[in-house]
Amino acid sequence: MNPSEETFPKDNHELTSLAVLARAGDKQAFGELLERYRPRLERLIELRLDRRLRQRMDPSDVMQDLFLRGGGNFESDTESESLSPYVWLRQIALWRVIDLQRKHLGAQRRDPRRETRFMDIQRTPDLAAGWLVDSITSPSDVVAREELICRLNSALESLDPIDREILILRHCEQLSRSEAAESLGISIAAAAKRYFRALARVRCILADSSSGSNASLIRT
Amino acid sequence: MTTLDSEALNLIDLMLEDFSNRLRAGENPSIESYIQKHPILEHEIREALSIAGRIESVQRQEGRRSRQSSKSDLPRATDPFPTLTNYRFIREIGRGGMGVVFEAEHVELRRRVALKILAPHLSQDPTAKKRFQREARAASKLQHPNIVPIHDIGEENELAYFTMPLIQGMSLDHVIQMIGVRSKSNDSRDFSASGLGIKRPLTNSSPSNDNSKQTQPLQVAIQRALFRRQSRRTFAPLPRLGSRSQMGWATRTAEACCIAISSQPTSYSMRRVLHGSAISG
Repeated sequence: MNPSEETFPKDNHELTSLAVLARAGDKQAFGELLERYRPRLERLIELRLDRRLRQRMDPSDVMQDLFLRGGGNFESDTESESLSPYVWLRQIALWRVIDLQRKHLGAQRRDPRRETRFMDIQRTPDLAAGWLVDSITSPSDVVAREELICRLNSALESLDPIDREILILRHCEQLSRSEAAESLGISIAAAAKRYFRALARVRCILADSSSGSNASLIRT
Repeated sequence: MTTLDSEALNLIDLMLEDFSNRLRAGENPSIESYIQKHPILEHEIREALSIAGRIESVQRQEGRRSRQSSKSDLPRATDPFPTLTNYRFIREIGRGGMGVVFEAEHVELRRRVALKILAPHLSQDPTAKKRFQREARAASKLQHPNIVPIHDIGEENELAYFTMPLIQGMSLDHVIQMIGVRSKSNDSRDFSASGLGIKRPLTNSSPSNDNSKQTQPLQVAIQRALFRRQSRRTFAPLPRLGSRSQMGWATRTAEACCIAISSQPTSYSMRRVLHGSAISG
């Protein structure tokens, strides 16, 4: 079902064996795996790293940190054993991002593994609203931009967090449908349903905005 | 959009995935072609795909914007190697804000070198070029066992470059091992014996409640200031930290001075370590 699996069967096999080694604590395999997925992971980190932290570090810093740490910290994590290579790495990268955020933003330190998978969801409305209005360029549009972001934010907040998250996963992180479902810990069918629902909701938001004073803003 | 059964949802989800992938690949898939396959779902397909397409188009603009402000002008590892008469390019070693370092072989001498080229987008910038050449000249004046000398400097096909000996330096595994050992014990240990030549001790990196005392591997950084403040002992071959760990290498320039373990959390970008030899700005 997963087109990426169909397109790159050999690659996938190799990645899976690398992931097996990496999970067993082979740091070289872990590094190799990170290198293979570097663009995707950097994209992920860029998306998820708190803006306040972005001034102190950039995605490549976090990648470097992951390289240095190796997968070792998470060897004993049995839950992750069934995850596919990228979803597993993504999880580790996210934990690291969350951990760094806690450390640097002075929040109380906790084991990121104790958090739900969705702990960073509170940021997603921002992101989503950002996508939808970021194509605005003219000065008058910019004035109305803030307002539109507010409206989109509140509208997206009304979405179920997982529905919102799936938009991020599918479009910002560009995960395949199986990877997205896996990341959220739900079935592909459930993820499809939520994705479809979220798209419908975004469509409603855009339609509402189009009929209002900001009509021109969201035509991309 | 109406309520759909799971089979229809699955179908549309597959279409959405395919549609988005093709958009990302630069294709311009027509929504009609998807509808033709399942005309009964016309309305749902059209709505879902058009919204997905809109989100993707914003994503692409975002991508272009961020690429414009990033180092995209540097040749990527997958790009064909630049061509120089005297050098045959073998592989890319690292890249930084100013340029890219390659492993290359001098065609006549058959000598392996680290060849640094100024990023093409900077080669039009006279200041950057001057700085690049000054970096090479300054480094060529320095003589120290831990400073990599400059072999050659030149310009060809609008590419400014200089070459240095290729150093098979310390592997990342070694560095990780050292840092790993450190983080498991609580004492402050001087790393000078490690062969890295780093004279500043790591502070306590074990988890504690005092955030200010935590030093992560992330804080392994280059401190230019040490060049002036500290003795030359702090000069050290700079290992490339990265996954190609077995090919550790080191280069040294006048401006990028030394690697040190800083106790200042994240004051310095790790990227500078990663691309240490490319630093000059």
